[in-house]
Amino acid sequence: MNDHEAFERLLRVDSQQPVAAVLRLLVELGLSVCGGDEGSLLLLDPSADSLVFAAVVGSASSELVGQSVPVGSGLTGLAAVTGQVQLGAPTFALGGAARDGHSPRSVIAAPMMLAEQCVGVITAVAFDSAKRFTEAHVRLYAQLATVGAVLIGQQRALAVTETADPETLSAQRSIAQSISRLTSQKPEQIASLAAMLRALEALSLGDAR
Amino acid sequence: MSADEPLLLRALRSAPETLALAPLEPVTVAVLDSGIDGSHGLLRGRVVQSFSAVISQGRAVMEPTDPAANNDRYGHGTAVASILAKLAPNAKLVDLRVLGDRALGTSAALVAALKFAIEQRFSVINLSVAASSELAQSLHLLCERAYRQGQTVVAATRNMPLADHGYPAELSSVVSVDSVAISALYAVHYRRTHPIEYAAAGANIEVAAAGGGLSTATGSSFAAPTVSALCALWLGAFPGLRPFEIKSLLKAFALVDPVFDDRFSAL
Repeated sequence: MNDHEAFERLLRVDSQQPVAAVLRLLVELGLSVCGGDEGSLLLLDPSADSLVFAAVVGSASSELVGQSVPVGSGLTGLAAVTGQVQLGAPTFALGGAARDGHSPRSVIAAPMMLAEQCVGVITAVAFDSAKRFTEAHVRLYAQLATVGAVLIGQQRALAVTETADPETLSAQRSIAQSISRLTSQKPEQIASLAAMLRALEALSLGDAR
Repeated sequence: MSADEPLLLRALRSAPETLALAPLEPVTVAVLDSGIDGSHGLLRGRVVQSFSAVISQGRAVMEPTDPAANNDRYGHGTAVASILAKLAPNAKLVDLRVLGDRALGTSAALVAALKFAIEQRFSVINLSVAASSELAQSLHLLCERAYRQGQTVVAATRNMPLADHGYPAELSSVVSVDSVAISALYAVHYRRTHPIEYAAAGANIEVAAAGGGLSTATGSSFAAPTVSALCALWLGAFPGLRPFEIKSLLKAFALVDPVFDDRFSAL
């Protein structure tokens, strides 16, 4: 899978579209601010329970794009599972020597959370032995990942609207307007309305769940 | 010192770092995390029980695993456990693995593991994980139960800019912890105007790496075990302390965090 296929299949956007460009920009921005060597955007492939490299900035770009990382391993997987930014460092033997001289010296992995679900991870990697990302970088990446998640959420909402037929769209608009009128004129009934809609949803989707 | 004197008053006379050198009762500390590498040199013999959350017939249950084995796929839980083991020599660690191979189902795993820890009456429960608000109600009920039973739940705040600080850290029945860039091992900051009341060292902490060796870790996940270790020390020296007394001790020995001090809040 290349970057075009990754964006198309996992985000339903063309890799040349502005959404993909802005997501790449977030990776570049983070990397330039924190001074890392390599940055990437990985998108969650729920069917394979893996994260797929969709965009990579830095030395290994062409090799990594399209490759998968299992959610059940590594710092990116941990970020996806915990919904928290993870800051990693290399492992040292008890004597103090580095276990692997070629491994990253510092790694940040920030999950893109959409309605409490992880849709991808933004990472930064430094190979310089003197380089250590800080908590300030963690805060920056938390913000960048949140912007990325909002962008993906809007893209998904837009995709739903674009694929719906006019009749369905009109019905959806009508339902939204009714709910809006009811909640503004009868705010005391919001709780019972929510319960009624949940019951209706359970009734309608009961067989599918 | 009189034996009739309230525990809290006796505990207030003992600085936590001196307790680590004193004879202490063993205290069970449950670590709800990615598992623990019980074979690591720094943790050998410290993990007394180990369980992993698995989905069985549609619900999460805790299945026993080998406490002497490496049960950690990510290294997070091993890092957390090593801080606890280092700071609280009397801590008997109970490994409750809730972060599994698949992202799905972790909410159910977290709730099942916390319920298990409460039923088993583990004295201290460390959660260096933060769940979403959809679990708020379930976690609230469980943490209330732990509080009433005298169990101390310590929870790390999350580091993503969302509408809340993560659960159960948001709940007042738990000891909530953020990280701060300080180096003193047993030091705690108190934040009287913030929902996350305490902060401990959480930057570049030397930790055990799953599979062997050492690493460094940064974040609130690695600050929470310092507070859990303090709880274990106090409970080991003064068995019977209640969670509100533990919070009082933390506040009594804490430094006021200048960033969150009332004097600065109006600025």
